[in-house]
Formats: sequence, C-alpha cells, structure tokens
Amino acid sequence: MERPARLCGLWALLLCAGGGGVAAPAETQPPVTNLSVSVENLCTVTWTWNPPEGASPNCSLKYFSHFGNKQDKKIAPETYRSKEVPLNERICLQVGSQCSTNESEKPSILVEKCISPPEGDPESAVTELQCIWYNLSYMKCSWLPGRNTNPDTNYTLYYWHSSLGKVLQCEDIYREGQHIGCSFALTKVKDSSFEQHSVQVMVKDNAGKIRPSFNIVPLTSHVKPDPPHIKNLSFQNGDLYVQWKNPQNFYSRCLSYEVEVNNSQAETHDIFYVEEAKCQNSEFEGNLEGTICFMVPGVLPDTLNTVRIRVKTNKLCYEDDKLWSNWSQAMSIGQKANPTFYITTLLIIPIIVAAAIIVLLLYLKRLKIIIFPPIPDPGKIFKEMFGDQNDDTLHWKKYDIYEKQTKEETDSVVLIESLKRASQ
Amino acid sequence: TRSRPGNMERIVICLMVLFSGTVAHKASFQGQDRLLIRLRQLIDIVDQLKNYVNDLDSEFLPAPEDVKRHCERSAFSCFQKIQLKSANTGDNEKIINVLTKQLKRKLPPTNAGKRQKHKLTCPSCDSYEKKPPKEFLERLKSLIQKVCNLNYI
Repeated sequence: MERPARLCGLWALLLCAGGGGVAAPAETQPPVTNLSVSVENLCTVTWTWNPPEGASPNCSLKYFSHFGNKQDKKIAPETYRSKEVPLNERICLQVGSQCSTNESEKPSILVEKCISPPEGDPESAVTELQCIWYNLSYMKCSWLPGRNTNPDTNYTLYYWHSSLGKVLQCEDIYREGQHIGCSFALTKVKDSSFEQHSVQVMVKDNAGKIRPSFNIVPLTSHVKPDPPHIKNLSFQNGDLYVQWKNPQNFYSRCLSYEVEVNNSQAETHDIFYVEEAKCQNSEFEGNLEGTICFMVPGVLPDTLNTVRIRVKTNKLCYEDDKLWSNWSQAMSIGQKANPTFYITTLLIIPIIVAAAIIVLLLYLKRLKIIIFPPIPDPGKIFKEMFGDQNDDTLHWKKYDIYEKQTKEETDSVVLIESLKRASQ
Repeated sequence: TRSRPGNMERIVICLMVLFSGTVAHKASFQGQDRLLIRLRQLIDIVDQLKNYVNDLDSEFLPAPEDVKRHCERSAFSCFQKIQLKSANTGDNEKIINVLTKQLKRKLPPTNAGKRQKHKLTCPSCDSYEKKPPKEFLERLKSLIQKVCNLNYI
C-alpha cells in the first residue's frame, strides 16, 4: 500500500519539477522603465532607461536594443546606448530586458523612444552637404542653399569631434558660384589612444529660420592628399626610373599611385596604375620622409618624355579610395630632335659661306665682268663723233670706234662662252 | 695538429655569424613586407565575407573596438579565434569556409610585433563587446586599417 503512494509522490514531484523547468524559459522579464533620449555635442544621441521593476532576483539583467528595421542589434548590461546619428530624419530605438547575452533568448516587451529632427521646414534645410579632408590638415565643407530660402541668408557651420572640448564655429566662410562652403583646421592627433572617429557637422542660418542640416564625416574616408613632388628622372638600362616624394602626413603603404608619361614625338599618352612602390635602397618604412620609385617600361630615351604623378588613399589604411590628388608638377627627360637639326644646319652654313668665298676669289675677274659689265658710254662716242671738227679723222675715228666696240663685244662674248665652258 | 681544427671551427663560426647577420637584416625588412602583403589579403577576405553576411549564423561574436595601444596583435587573435559559421548549407557554405580558413592563418612576425605586450596585460577576448557578424567584420576591417596607419606594426 505504501509503494503506490510513494510512486504517486515521485510522479508528482517529477511533474512539478518538469512543469517548473518548462515554465522558467518561457518567463520573460518585465519591460524597462523611464526610457528617455537626449542629444550631446551635435549628433551624439543617447538613450537612457531604468531597470525594470519586479525582475527575477537570479537574473543578471542585460538589455537588448535595436534601431528601426532591427538594425544594429546589441545586448549589453549598460542602461544607456549612444550613437552618432545625423539628425536629418527621425530615428527610434527599441529596448528590452533579458537575463543573458545570448541573442536567442527572448527579451521582454520592447519599449520604443524616438527623436525627431530640429524644428523647421525640411525643404529649407541646406542640401548636398559634403566635406573633404585636405591632406589631413584642414577640412572643407560645402553645401547648396535649401529651396524657398532667402538668397541673403547668412549661414554658419558648427563642428565637433572627440578631441575637442566643445562645439566650435567655422570662421572661414566662402562662396563658390552656387555653392557655399567653410574651411576649418583639422589634424590627426598622432598615436593617441583616444581616437577621433568622425567629425560631426551642422549647418544652420544665423536667423534660425531654416532647419539645421547635419553630416557625420568618418575620419577614415573623404581624404584628398596634396600632389606629390617628382624629384628625379633617370634612364638605367633602357628603362625610365621615376623618383618622387609623397605628400607629408602619409605613409607610402597607405597610398596608390598613377604615373602618366607623355611622349611628344610618338604622341603617346600612357597611364600606369601602381599599388605598391618602393625604392630599393629605402630605409625602414616607418620613416615618412623618403622617396618612392617606379620603373616605366618601354620608353624611348632619345625623345622628349613628360612625367606627372598623382596619388590617392588606398583601402589598406582608409575606408574609401575615390579621391585623387591633383597632378604633380610635370618633369621632362630625353633629348629633343630639334637641337640636333639646328646644330647641323649651323655647322653647314659656315662651310657653304667659306666655299662661296673661295669660288669668288678664283673667278674674281670673270665674275666681276659678269656682275659688273662695262657700261657703254654714249657721251664719249658722240664726243669723238662731233667734238673734233675734222671730218676725216672723225670719219675714220668712227670706224675705229666701231671696230673697237665690236672687238670689245666679241671679246665679251668670247669671255662668257669661255666662262660657261669652264663652269661646265 | 690540435690547433688546426680549432682554427677551422672558428673561421666557420665567424662566417656563419656574418652570413646570418646579413640574412637577418634582409629578413627583418622582408618580414614587414610579408606582413603588409598579408594585411592586404585580409582586407580583401573581409570584403568578400561581407558579401555573404546574410548567409552567416547570426550568433553574437566578440568584436574588439578602440583597441589599446600595443594590444593590436592580441585583439587580432581574438578575431581569429572565432569560427564564422554558415547558417545554411549550399554553395555559399564552401566559399565561407574557405574564406574563414584564410582568416585564421597566422600573421607573419615582425620585430615590432615581437615587442608587443604579452597577452596577459591586454584585455582578454571575452571582455570585448559581442556583436553580430556584420559589425564583427566591420570592426575587423577597422582594426587592420588602424594597424596599417601606425608607425609600428
């Protein structure tokens, strides 16, 4: 009689234990309380909450949170969550509590809290707000005025990053056609344990009529280096060696290169894309100063070659590699074909002149008569004809003169003919 | 007769020391080159894995961020310890397995790397925040990019 009772008791215990065991996982914690949101700096949004009331005593509370569309899920014991968000749109966070960091555990009912952009007509906010960090030294942001805004609006740009104590105002405003921009100094704090991750930027007008615009610029992208400097061009073993110095503030391993070679004679235009470049005799890579070398194949040494180089950040050290620097100053090497031509002509001309002088000296008399023929003098002839009143002598003289003239003429003819024969 | 072998030994030892000296100098230079080559490969692997992020098991994994100075190698080894699993079988599973295997390859050592703090002084892998695979891969990429930007590797 006792055995069935004991068995019943055992069964009952098992059922209770089983029931209790099954019930425990299904039990979720109560939701969190006092979920609130605040904004620090320009775009650092922080949600804070209090632990739920009436949570299980054995539960070490963890909080599960995610943004709209279940993005950016996080499970952590802290009762706050912070995120850098450009407040151009509404953003919401949902929070629930659970007992472990296991994401397969079902959290409590989720509580949601949203934050809206600042006051103002969305159409009035500036558009195309974009920033570029020039050579890791200064940042330039530019934007277009919003629709339906007064053309006389005075804009102000505010910026903040984690190395600054407070939000600063950008002083250096400029206008470029339709675009308005502002430039402020920004340098990388070297080897700091506290990294600058992004720069938060806000543009609003002084009157406060337009809705502010925000932008968060990650400091690993939008970097535009300064152009490099070509130091040396040389020919070795029939190949063109280009040696240049990279812009300061960049390690050579963090840059990609483009080398452009223009050949004026062959009218070729080659562009070489280089991922890695190093000089064989360079020192330890940690040295920022130093030159980079690249060998250009297939270059004709006797022609004029012009070389230009530009650089961009590469994916090894930076998030994007879209912004090329400006082209460097061009440097040329190779001989022009023209100088040789000029030299040869300059040498030939004195030779020709010398030969001409020799010829002149040899054939001076003959040339002289050719160049300066004897001018017939009618005055003399007439004088001898009429000046002397002796008719006979005049008569005879007339014939004499004719003879003389014909003789001279024949002489001239003979001379020319003999000269012609001589030249042939 | 005894002194001769002694002299020969000394000459051989000297030559070996000189030879190893030249080779060591070249090796240290090459070590850094090899490391950079490997880091470039790793960035490519992470980019490829990002394409398959939807096929990965959504388990939360320790993903170091804001790593302390000189603890970069230790943090990188935490990333390597994780086995990224494919959530479903199929063609993508093979690719994912191949890529994760390549991730786990040991990094080439460098002089600076050897001087890095022993793992005891750096935070343990479990102390880092756990994140889903997408953020895990993004943080791994950020760590590699940060390391390449340092003047010590």
